[in-house]
Amino acid sequence: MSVEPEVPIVQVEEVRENPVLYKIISSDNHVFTISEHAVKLSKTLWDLITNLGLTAENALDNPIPVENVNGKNMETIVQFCERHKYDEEEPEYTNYIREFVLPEWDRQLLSIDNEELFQLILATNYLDIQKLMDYCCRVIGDMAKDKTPEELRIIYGIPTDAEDDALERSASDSPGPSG
Amino acid sequence: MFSPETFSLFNLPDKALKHVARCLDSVEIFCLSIVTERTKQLIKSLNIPDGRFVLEICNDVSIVVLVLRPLEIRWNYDDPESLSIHTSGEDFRDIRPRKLTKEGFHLGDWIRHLISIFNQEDVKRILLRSIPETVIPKPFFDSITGIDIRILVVFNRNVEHTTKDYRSLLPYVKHLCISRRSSENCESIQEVIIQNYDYLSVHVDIRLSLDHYLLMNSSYIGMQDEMSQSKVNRFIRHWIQGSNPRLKVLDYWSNGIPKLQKILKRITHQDVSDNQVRTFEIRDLAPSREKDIIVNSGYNIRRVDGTQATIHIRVFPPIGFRLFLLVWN
Repeated sequence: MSVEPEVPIVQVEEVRENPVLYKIISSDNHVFTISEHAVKLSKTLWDLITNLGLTAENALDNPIPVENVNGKNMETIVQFCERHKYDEEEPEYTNYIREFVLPEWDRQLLSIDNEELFQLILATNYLDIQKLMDYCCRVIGDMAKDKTPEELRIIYGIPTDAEDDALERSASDSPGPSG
Repeated sequence: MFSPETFSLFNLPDKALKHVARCLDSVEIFCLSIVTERTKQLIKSLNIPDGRFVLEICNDVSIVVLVLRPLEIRWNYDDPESLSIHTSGEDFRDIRPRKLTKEGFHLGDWIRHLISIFNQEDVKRILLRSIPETVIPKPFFDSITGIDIRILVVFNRNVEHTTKDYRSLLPYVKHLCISRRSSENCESIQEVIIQNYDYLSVHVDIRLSLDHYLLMNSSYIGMQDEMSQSKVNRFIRHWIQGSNPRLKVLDYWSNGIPKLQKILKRITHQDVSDNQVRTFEIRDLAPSREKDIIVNSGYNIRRVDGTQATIHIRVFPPIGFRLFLLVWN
């Protein structure tokens, strides 16, 4: 039986195979190094790099601050991007349902608690990383497997119609900023 | 906000929320859609393309959702609040039959729910075969009354229910095809055929007279080959005098050969000339996908109010011929 490799130490690998590196600073001041191929998976980061005019020569001297993502999530994101940087680009999907099985390496990476997963999705959404978004959503979607509607309501913390109505009423009853 | 067992789905940004919903398989999507009004709106917002579905009413009511094939949903008279979902094929992560229950729901509520989440205006086709003898038809048909039906096909070889059982559906039907209903009496069929449909055809097992055809108020009438060519002629002459005011197409099949003397008898007409070729758009009128008709031959006629029409005949030897009365806008 094959054993899945440990999550790689990405920076070391990158220095060897690709000299173009960028530095990213998370909201809590952790510094990450990421390769050009990997950073391209994030549309937000790559747009930023392009707009800032960063090149192979000046990239490491100009770290990119990302204030919306903390170090923990950024670490996961960098690992993910380095792992998938040479993946073939997926065709634009037209089917409304995304049927795919999560690779084991990624399933391990995303075996985190629900709060962390939620924060990771927010970060992924902000950084606009399509593939990681797919994978995170797959993990959440998998929670629905074999569940009844009532079980879904509990798992996904969905308010009942009555709770939603009450919330709406209280929102409309509460005075506005001027009231 | 979170407990270890829950994930607050609706706290996600809208884009991520929809993304999660798209990661569910068809059964899970359907399951999520009935949790609350909010989840229903979420599934609706996915704009699942081409979610047309077909309903077959017999011992079990089966609902085939075309876009979600091979998904089949079944509803049973004995358990109106539930649906059972059957899947097959590799597209599904879980192919065991699933049962969904929603308190207070009946078949009509389930259908309306499906129409809503798939952003459909109507049920594409309902095949009405038979319902079990133990079922009281009225509450059953009342439950689905009011739902727009594109095509209603009434089959019945073992006639247990009669027109009065399903007549409440008729005002919501666009295309009606009645097939093999041998015990239907004339009085009852009259009640059915006078409704305003876009398309109406009645199987030859039910003998119709010329008077029946003159009572029809549908846009597209399929005429049985039991009608003689002389009767077709009389129908056209009545149309010229003002009968069947909504008629756009009369479609008559015959396994004989066209006898123009009979068809055109006492009808003032002009031959369609070679430089007068026109296209009649029939696609949206017929229930099946008909090609528009290139009218390159035939006989132009005029109704008393000035409306123009063409009698166009296509011969298919040795099968027979097809006659169209095409009413131009």
